[in-house]
Amino acid sequence: MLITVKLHATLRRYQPDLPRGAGLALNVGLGTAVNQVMAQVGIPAGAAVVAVVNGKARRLDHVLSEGDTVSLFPPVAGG
Amino acid sequence: MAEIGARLQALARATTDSRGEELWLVSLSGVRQVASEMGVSLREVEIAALRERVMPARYLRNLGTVGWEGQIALLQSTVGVVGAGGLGGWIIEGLARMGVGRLIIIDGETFEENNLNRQALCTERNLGQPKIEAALRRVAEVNAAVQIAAHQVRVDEAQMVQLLRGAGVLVDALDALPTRLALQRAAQKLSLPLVHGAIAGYVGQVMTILPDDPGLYGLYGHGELPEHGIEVQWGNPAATPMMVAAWEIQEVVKLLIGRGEPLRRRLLFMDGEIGAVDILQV
Repeated sequence: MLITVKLHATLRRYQPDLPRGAGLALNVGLGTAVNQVMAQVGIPAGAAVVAVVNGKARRLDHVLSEGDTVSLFPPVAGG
Repeated sequence: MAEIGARLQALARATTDSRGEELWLVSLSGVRQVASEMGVSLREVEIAALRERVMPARYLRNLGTVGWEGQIALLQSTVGVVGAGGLGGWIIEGLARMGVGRLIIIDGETFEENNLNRQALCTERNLGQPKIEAALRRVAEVNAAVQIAAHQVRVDEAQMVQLLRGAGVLVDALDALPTRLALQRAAQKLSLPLVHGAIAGYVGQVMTILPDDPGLYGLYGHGELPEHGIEVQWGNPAATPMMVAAWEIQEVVKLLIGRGEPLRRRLLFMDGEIGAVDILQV
């Protein structure tokens, strides 16, 4: 199934050739979860990431559906 | 109060507003004079003036967006600001200028040289001094009607509950994830809305969390959390705290005057590097 992945802020470095704001189209198997997509785009396992699927915050084990857009954000905690 | 009203009427001067309607104004010196004559606080005089439909000139440019009753509500409100650093400094300044009547400010740190690039309250003269002292001094200079309860402590959840009781809205201007979650739990225990803001490099985020909302737990889950985010790699330049603090100030004002739509269950994530703002459902 086809999904779109968008990387934000510092996570963009894992796909440096992707134009800013553009999504990466990925063909993944049925039952693929957010954390598997993270591995596929090169984000190291255990990295602290906020996952948003179709505009809604989701857990990293959230299972994706055809056509989903996965946006990945780094944690932001400075003040 | 009637006596204060009569005195204010005598000191007020008429002007016309942008629509050509008559508007009565009282100056800062007029407010000070009445407060001193009647032995009441500046804040009480300003509230009395607004009730008489005499506008303290200092709030004139608030009128169009907050209204008379909104300005009274601001002056009667108490806001708890936790953190007086990059975000907190601007937030304290903004809330004082808007005329939020009472602030509870909590910060246990002293200024370091690396704060100078972004922290509104940090100057070359007050390096090494408590941030709380600078906050007190700045608010007294900007708006002496604002009353402050200042606490120079590094707080845990129980202390937050204790110190922030009596506030109407809480503001997250902290700099570490676990403390932010502790503040959200404290806000839930106190049944208070919390305005969250956080920054790192070019990016920042804002969200208003009501006691029933998942808030930061909706973003980060209930598992173990890193202490810090990408601000460790990216640092904190000057512009981002100003931008996020400005959003936080606006959220607080909206909550206090009951106007507009808060960023509730919605995280505003801004990326100054590419000029993008995303709204995420939480």
